[in-house]
Amino acid sequence: MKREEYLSDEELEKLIAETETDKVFNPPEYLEAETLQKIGTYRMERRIKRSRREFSLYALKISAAAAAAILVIFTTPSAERLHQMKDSVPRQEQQDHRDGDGILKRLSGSLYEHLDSVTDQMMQSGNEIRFSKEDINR
Amino acid sequence: MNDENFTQIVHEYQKLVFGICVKLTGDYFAAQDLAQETFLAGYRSRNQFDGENAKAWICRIAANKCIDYNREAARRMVPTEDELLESSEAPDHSPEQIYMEREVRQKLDARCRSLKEPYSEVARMYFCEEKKAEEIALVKKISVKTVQTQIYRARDMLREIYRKEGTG
Repeated sequence: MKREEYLSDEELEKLIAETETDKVFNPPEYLEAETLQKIGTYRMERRIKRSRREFSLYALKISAAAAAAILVIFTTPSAERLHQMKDSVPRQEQQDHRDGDGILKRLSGSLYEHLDSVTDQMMQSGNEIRFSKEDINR
Repeated sequence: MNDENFTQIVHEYQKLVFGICVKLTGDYFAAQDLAQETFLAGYRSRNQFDGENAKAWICRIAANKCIDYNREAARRMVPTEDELLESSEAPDHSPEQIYMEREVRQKLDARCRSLKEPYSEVARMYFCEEKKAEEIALVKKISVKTVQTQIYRARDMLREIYRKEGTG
Protein backbone atom coordinates (compact mmCIF):
# COMPACT_ATOMS: atom_id res chain seq x y z
CA MET A 1 0.00 0.00 0.00
CA LYS A 2 1.57 3.29 -1.16
CA ARG A 3 1.66 6.17 1.30
CA GLU A 4 0.15 8.63 -1.23
CA GLU A 5 -3.06 6.56 -1.35
CA TYR A 6 -3.81 7.48 2.25
CA LEU A 7 -5.30 10.86 3.19
CA SER A 8 -3.01 13.85 3.52
CA ASP A 9 -2.99 15.82 6.78
CA GLU A 10 -5.30 18.48 5.33
CA GLU A 11 -7.75 15.89 4.01
CA LEU A 12 -7.77 14.16 7.37
CA GLU A 13 -8.47 17.40 9.22
CA LYS A 14 -11.29 18.16 6.81
CA LEU A 15 -12.75 14.68 7.32
CA ILE A 16 -12.57 15.06 11.10
CA ALA A 17 -14.26 18.47 10.98
CA GLU A 18 -17.03 17.19 8.70
CA THR A 19 -17.65 14.12 10.82
CA GLU A 20 -17.86 16.20 13.98
CA THR A 21 -20.37 18.63 12.50
CA ASP A 22 -22.47 16.09 10.57
CA LYS A 23 -24.92 14.04 12.50
CA VAL A 24 -24.01 10.85 10.69
CA PHE A 25 -24.37 7.89 13.01
CA ASN A 26 -24.01 7.24 16.70
CA PRO A 27 -22.13 4.08 17.59
CA PRO A 28 -24.19 1.29 19.20
CA GLU A 29 -24.08 1.15 22.99
CA TYR A 30 -22.10 -2.06 23.13
CA LEU A 31 -19.22 -0.79 20.97
CA GLU A 32 -17.15 0.77 23.74
CA ALA A 33 -17.53 -2.20 26.09
CA GLU A 34 -16.63 -4.68 23.35
CA THR A 35 -13.62 -2.62 22.32
CA LEU A 36 -12.29 -2.48 25.88
CA GLN A 37 -12.91 -6.21 26.25
CA LYS A 38 -10.86 -6.94 23.13
CA ILE A 39 -8.03 -4.77 24.45
CA GLY A 40 -8.19 -6.66 27.76
CA THR A 41 -7.98 -9.99 25.94
CA TYR A 42 -5.01 -8.81 23.92
CA ARG A 43 -3.23 -7.70 27.11
CA MET A 44 -3.87 -11.09 28.73
CA GLU A 45 -2.56 -12.97 25.69
CA ARG A 46 0.63 -10.93 25.77
CA ARG A 47 1.16 -11.76 29.44
CA ILE A 48 0.72 -15.46 28.74
CA LYS A 49 3.22 -15.33 25.86
CA ARG A 50 5.74 -13.56 28.09
CA SER A 51 5.26 -16.14 30.88
CA ARG A 52 5.72 -18.99 28.42
CA ARG A 53 8.96 -17.46 27.15
CA GLU A 54 10.29 -17.15 30.69
CA PHE A 55 9.20 -20.69 31.46
CA SER A 56 11.07 -22.02 28.41
CA LEU A 57 14.19 -20.16 29.50
CA TYR A 58 14.02 -21.64 33.00
CA ALA A 59 13.44 -25.11 31.57
CA LEU A 60 16.56 -24.65 29.47
CA LYS A 61 18.56 -23.59 32.52
CA ILE A 62 17.36 -26.61 34.49
CA SER A 63 18.27 -28.93 31.65
CA ALA A 64 21.74 -27.41 31.55
CA ALA A 65 22.09 -27.71 35.34
CA ALA A 66 20.91 -31.34 35.25
CA ALA A 67 23.36 -32.13 32.47
CA ALA A 68 26.16 -30.54 34.48
CA ALA A 69 25.11 -32.52 37.57
CA ILE A 70 25.15 -35.78 35.62
CA LEU A 71 28.58 -34.90 34.28
CA VAL A 72 29.87 -34.24 37.80
CA ILE A 73 28.44 -37.55 39.05
CA PHE A 74 30.18 -39.53 36.33
CA THR A 75 33.52 -37.73 36.44
CA THR A 76 34.07 -37.62 40.22
CA PRO A 77 35.43 -40.82 41.90
CA SER A 78 33.11 -42.99 44.05
CA ALA A 79 33.26 -42.93 47.91
CA GLU A 80 34.78 -46.41 48.11
CA ARG A 81 37.52 -45.54 45.69
CA LEU A 82 38.21 -42.37 47.63
CA HIS A 83 38.69 -44.36 50.84
CA GLN A 84 41.07 -46.74 49.10
CA MET A 85 43.05 -43.85 47.77
CA LYS A 86 43.14 -42.26 51.22
CA ASP A 87 44.63 -45.42 52.84
CA SER A 88 47.36 -45.78 50.24
CA VAL A 89 48.37 -42.15 50.06
CA PRO A 90 50.82 -40.30 52.37
CA ARG A 91 49.53 -37.68 54.87
CA GLN A 92 50.18 -34.64 52.73
CA GLU A 93 48.32 -36.16 49.85
CA GLN A 94 45.48 -37.14 52.20
CA GLN A 95 45.24 -33.51 53.21
CA ASP A 96 45.06 -32.58 49.56
CA HIS A 97 42.26 -35.12 49.04
CA ARG A 98 40.30 -33.72 51.99
CA ASP A 99 40.53 -30.30 50.41
CA GLY A 100 39.27 -31.90 47.21
CA ASP A 101 36.37 -33.44 49.15
CA GLY A 102 35.60 -30.02 50.58
CA ILE A 103 35.64 -28.46 47.14
CA LEU A 104 33.43 -31.23 45.84
CA LYS A 105 31.01 -30.76 48.71
CA ARG A 106 30.90 -27.03 48.15
CA LEU A 107 30.36 -27.56 44.41
CA SER A 108 27.55 -30.06 44.99
CA GLY A 109 26.04 -27.83 47.65
CA SER A 110 25.95 -24.76 45.42
CA LEU A 111 24.65 -26.87 42.52
CA TYR A 112 21.88 -28.16 44.76
CA GLU A 113 21.01 -24.63 45.90
CA HIS A 114 20.94 -23.43 42.30
CA LEU A 115 18.71 -26.32 41.20
CA ASP A 116 16.44 -25.61 44.15
CA SER A 117 15.98 -21.93 43.26
CA VAL A 118 15.46 -22.73 39.57
CA THR A 119 12.73 -25.29 40.33
CA ASP A 120 11.05 -22.76 42.62
CA GLN A 121 10.99 -20.23 39.80
CA MET A 122 9.65 -22.86 37.40
CA MET A 123 6.80 -23.62 39.78
CA GLN A 124 6.02 -19.93 40.07
CA SER A 125 5.94 -19.42 36.27
CA GLY A 126 3.77 -22.51 35.86
CA ASN A 127 1.31 -21.17 38.40
CA GLU A 128 1.23 -17.77 36.67
CA ILE A 129 0.40 -19.41 33.34
CA ARG A 130 -2.29 -21.60 34.88
CA PHE A 131 -3.97 -18.74 36.74
CA SER A 132 -3.75 -16.48 33.66
CA LYS A 133 -5.55 -19.15 31.60
CA GLU A 134 -8.25 -19.41 34.24
CA ASP A 135 -8.71 -15.62 34.12
CA ILE A 136 -9.27 -15.74 30.32
CA ASN A 137 -11.74 -18.63 30.51
CA ARG A 138 -13.74 -16.92 33.28
CA MET B 1 0.61 6.16 27.66
CA ASN B 2 -0.89 4.03 30.40
CA ASP B 3 -4.03 1.89 30.16
CA GLU B 4 -6.20 4.42 31.94
CA ASN B 5 -5.29 7.17 29.48
CA PHE B 6 -6.04 4.89 26.59
CA THR B 7 -9.43 3.94 28.02
CA GLN B 8 -10.18 7.64 28.17
CA ILE B 9 -9.25 7.99 24.50
CA VAL B 10 -11.62 5.14 23.60
CA HIS B 11 -14.43 6.81 25.53
CA GLU B 12 -13.77 10.26 24.11
CA TYR B 13 -13.28 9.40 20.44
CA GLN B 14 -15.36 6.29 19.80
CA LYS B 15 -18.18 8.36 18.27
CA LEU B 16 -15.81 10.28 16.00
CA VAL B 17 -13.91 7.15 14.93
CA PHE B 18 -17.15 5.28 14.24
CA GLY B 19 -18.47 8.24 12.25
CA ILE B 20 -15.31 8.35 10.14
CA CYS B 21 -15.55 4.61 9.48
CA VAL B 22 -19.20 4.90 8.37
CA LYS B 23 -18.38 7.88 6.16
CA LEU B 24 -15.49 6.15 4.47
CA THR B 25 -16.96 2.66 4.07
CA GLY B 26 -20.72 3.26 3.84
CA ASP B 27 -21.17 0.00 5.75
CA TYR B 28 -22.65 0.31 9.24
CA PHE B 29 -21.41 -3.05 10.51
CA ALA B 30 -18.03 -2.96 8.84
CA ALA B 31 -17.64 0.43 10.51
CA GLN B 32 -18.16 -1.18 13.93
CA ASP B 33 -15.44 -3.77 13.27
CA LEU B 34 -13.11 -1.15 11.85
CA ALA B 35 -13.64 1.15 14.82
CA GLN B 36 -12.71 -1.69 17.19
CA GLU B 37 -9.68 -2.58 15.07
CA THR B 38 -8.66 1.07 15.12
CA PHE B 39 -8.57 1.22 18.90
CA LEU B 40 -6.82 -2.13 19.13
CA ALA B 41 -4.15 -0.98 16.67
CA GLY B 42 -3.86 2.26 18.64
CA TYR B 43 -3.36 0.31 21.86
CA ARG B 44 -0.62 -1.80 20.29
CA SER B 45 1.25 1.26 19.08
CA ARG B 46 0.48 3.56 22.01
CA ASN B 47 4.13 3.73 23.07
CA GLN B 48 5.04 5.21 19.69
CA PHE B 49 2.51 8.01 20.11
CA ASP B 50 4.20 11.30 20.98
CA GLY B 51 1.24 12.57 23.03
CA GLU B 52 0.71 15.63 20.83
CA ASN B 53 -2.69 15.27 19.19
CA ALA B 54 -4.61 12.16 20.22
CA LYS B 55 -7.62 13.00 18.05
CA ALA B 56 -5.61 13.28 14.83
CA TRP B 57 -3.56 10.19 15.74
CA ILE B 58 -6.51 7.88 16.33
CA CYS B 59 -8.44 9.28 13.34
CA ARG B 60 -5.42 8.73 11.10
CA ILE B 61 -5.39 5.05 12.12
CA ALA B 62 -9.15 4.82 11.47
CA ALA B 63 -8.91 6.46 8.04
CA ASN B 64 -6.04 4.21 6.97
CA LYS B 65 -7.88 1.10 8.10
CA CYS B 66 -10.99 2.16 6.16
CA ILE B 67 -8.96 2.83 3.02
CA ASP B 68 -7.33 -0.60 3.32
CA TYR B 69 -10.74 -2.16 3.86
CA ASN B 70 -12.21 -0.45 0.79
CA ARG B 71 -9.28 -1.51 -1.29
CA GLU B 72 -9.69 -5.14 -0.21
CA ALA B 73 -13.42 -5.01 -0.93
CA ALA B 74 -12.78 -3.40 -4.31
CA ARG B 75 -10.25 -6.10 -5.18
CA ARG B 76 -12.90 -8.75 -4.52
CA MET B 77 -15.54 -6.96 -6.57
CA VAL B 78 -13.44 -5.97 -9.65
CA PRO B 79 -14.76 -2.39 -9.85
CA THR B 80 -15.05 -0.25 -12.97
CA GLU B 81 -12.66 2.60 -13.65
CA ASP B 82 -15.25 5.20 -12.56
CA GLU B 83 -15.76 3.50 -9.22
CA LEU B 84 -12.01 3.43 -8.65
CA LEU B 85 -11.77 7.16 -9.34
CA GLU B 86 -14.63 7.84 -6.94
CA SER B 87 -13.13 5.78 -4.14
CA SER B 88 -9.76 7.49 -4.39
CA GLU B 89 -11.20 10.98 -4.06
CA ALA B 90 -11.17 12.60 -0.66
CA PRO B 91 -14.56 12.76 1.07
CA ASP B 92 -16.29 16.14 0.79
CA HIS B 93 -19.52 17.89 1.65
CA SER B 94 -20.86 17.43 -1.85
CA PRO B 95 -24.44 16.41 -2.63
CA GLU B 96 -23.03 12.99 -3.52
CA GLN B 97 -21.65 12.59 -0.03
CA ILE B 98 -24.91 13.66 1.59
CA TYR B 99 -26.78 11.28 -0.72
CA MET B 100 -24.42 8.46 0.21
CA GLU B 101 -25.01 8.98 3.93
CA ARG B 102 -28.76 8.96 3.38
CA GLU B 103 -28.39 5.84 1.30
CA VAL B 104 -26.48 4.12 4.12
CA ARG B 105 -29.34 4.86 6.50
CA GLN B 106 -31.96 3.69 4.01
CA LYS B 107 -30.04 0.50 3.31
CA LEU B 108 -29.70 -0.20 7.03
CA ASP B 109 -33.41 0.40 7.53
CA ALA B 110 -34.31 -1.91 4.64
CA ARG B 111 -32.04 -4.69 5.95
CA CYS B 112 -33.51 -4.35 9.44
CA ARG B 113 -37.03 -4.68 8.02
CA SER B 114 -35.98 -7.80 6.12
CA LEU B 115 -35.30 -9.67 9.38
CA LYS B 116 -37.96 -11.86 10.91
CA GLU B 117 -39.78 -10.74 14.03
CA PRO B 118 -39.01 -9.95 16.81
CA TYR B 119 -35.55 -9.05 15.51
CA SER B 120 -36.82 -6.73 12.80
CA GLU B 121 -38.53 -4.31 15.17
CA VAL B 122 -35.74 -4.40 17.75
CA ALA B 123 -33.10 -3.85 15.03
CA ARG B 124 -34.96 -0.86 13.58
CA MET B 125 -35.44 0.71 17.00
CA TYR B 126 -31.83 0.13 18.03
CA PHE B 127 -29.78 0.70 14.88
CA CYS B 128 -31.99 3.08 12.91
CA GLU B 129 -33.83 5.03 15.58
CA GLU B 130 -30.82 4.76 17.97
CA LYS B 131 -32.94 3.94 21.01
CA LYS B 132 -31.26 2.43 24.05
CA ALA B 133 -31.95 -1.16 25.12
CA GLU B 134 -33.79 0.08 28.24
CA GLU B 135 -36.12 2.26 26.15
CA ILE B 136 -36.89 -0.63 23.80
CA ALA B 137 -37.60 -2.89 26.78
CA LEU B 138 -40.09 -0.31 28.13
CA VAL B 139 -41.87 0.05 24.79
CA LYS B 140 -42.10 -3.68 24.11
CA LYS B 141 -42.74 -4.55 27.77
CA ILE B 142 -40.02 -7.19 27.91
CA SER B 143 -36.87 -7.48 30.01
CA VAL B 144 -33.70 -5.58 29.14
CA LYS B 145 -31.78 -8.88 28.96
CA THR B 146 -34.17 -10.20 26.33
CA VAL B 147 -33.78 -7.00 24.32
CA GLN B 148 -29.98 -7.21 24.53
CA THR B 149 -30.03 -10.83 23.34
CA GLN B 150 -32.27 -9.87 20.43
CA ILE B 151 -29.99 -6.95 19.56
CA TYR B 152 -26.91 -9.19 19.41
CA ARG B 153 -28.71 -11.78 17.31
CA ALA B 154 -30.07 -9.10 14.97
CA ARG B 155 -26.57 -7.68 14.67
CA ASP B 156 -25.14 -11.08 13.69
CA MET B 157 -27.89 -11.60 11.12
CA LEU B 158 -27.35 -8.14 9.64
CA ARG B 159 -23.60 -8.67 9.50
CA GLU B 160 -24.17 -11.85 7.54
CA ILE B 161 -26.52 -10.03 5.13
CA TYR B 162 -23.99 -7.25 4.59
CA ARG B 163 -21.16 -9.74 4.18
CA LYS B 164 -23.07 -11.70 1.52
CA GLU B 165 -23.91 -8.49 -0.31
CA GLY B 166 -20.29 -7.43 -0.18
CA THR B 167 -18.95 -10.66 -1.68
CA GLY B 168 -21.91 -11.41 -3.94
